[in-house]
Amino acid sequence: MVSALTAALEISAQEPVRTISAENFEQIVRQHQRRVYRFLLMLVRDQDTADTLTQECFLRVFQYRKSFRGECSVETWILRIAVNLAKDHGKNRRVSFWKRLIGLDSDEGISAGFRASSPSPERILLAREEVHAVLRACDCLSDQQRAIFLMRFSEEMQLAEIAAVLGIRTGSVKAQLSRAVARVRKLMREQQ
Amino acid sequence: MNKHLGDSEIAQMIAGGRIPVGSHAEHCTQCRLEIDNIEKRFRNLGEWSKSASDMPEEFWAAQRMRTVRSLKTATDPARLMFPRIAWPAFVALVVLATVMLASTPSLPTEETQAATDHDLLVQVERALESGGPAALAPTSILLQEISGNTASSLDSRDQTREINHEN
Repeated sequence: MVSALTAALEISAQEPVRTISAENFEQIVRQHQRRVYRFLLMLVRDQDTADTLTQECFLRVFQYRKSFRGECSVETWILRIAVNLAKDHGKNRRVSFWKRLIGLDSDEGISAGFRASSPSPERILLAREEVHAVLRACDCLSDQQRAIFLMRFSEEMQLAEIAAVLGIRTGSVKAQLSRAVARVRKLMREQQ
Repeated sequence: MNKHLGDSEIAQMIAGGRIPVGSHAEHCTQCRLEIDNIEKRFRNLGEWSKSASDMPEEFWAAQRMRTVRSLKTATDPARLMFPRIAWPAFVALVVLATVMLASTPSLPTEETQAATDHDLLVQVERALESGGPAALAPTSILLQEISGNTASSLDSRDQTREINHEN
């Protein structure tokens, strides 16, 4: 039986692929699906939507594989597609915002996330409240600032990596991240 | 001693990911504590996202299977061929229909039909008045022959009677 740990070891043992073809496509999905799903889950905050968008992301990876010229890593290119998908999905989020406002849509994804593995109920509650507060503040950022903020703090990506994913300069990422941090802090203070 | 860092300065340091050497925060415990506290709160997102995406292997296998299945559907040759065939076929059909409609003689309307009938009737009347049309010439010849035969047969009968009388 393959556990999550052994699966992770198997994945890390595999060589990172440099090209995308029909032959190595399943290997690419296997290598990157966790990160893509996790990143999309942070952006859309719904497990079903993140799952659907992950599939859509890999579908696009295959369809546009010929446009991948190896200028960046496969992972960066895949995450770029994921960001664009989340942006498209974000257009529909405007409706979701109103649903949340009137209580039709709860943050089920967040609760499920902390239910999965955290041991202490107090820790769960505290962490959940903090994450709720940060994510609520993130909702007020622009799509790009939100993506930058989440890539930096959720995915712990370097500024240069974020710049490569978004196709912008590192300095621009730093400036936007700085603005996002200041805005999130201000909004969190207002929430308290 | 320098004054404590403002919001924008703290944000810049958090965005940069490090405290610059020689800056106020390097020596001020209060500012460093503030930066650490904010970073810690933000990094909870990472903890959450990792635990939220910590799915069993079955989940990832099912996702891979669905992805490959949807890929097969999307790249199905029959499905891809359909738009290629459908548009030329549609255009050809439209052209064919246009050509057929253009080449078909238009049916006479009720008014033109009535006018044609009337003209024909007038022509027939005129022909009758003028002694019959040329097309009826064979008929008149036939009539003449019939009447001629009748006359000759009558003559031969008369001759026969005369002979009998003489006998």
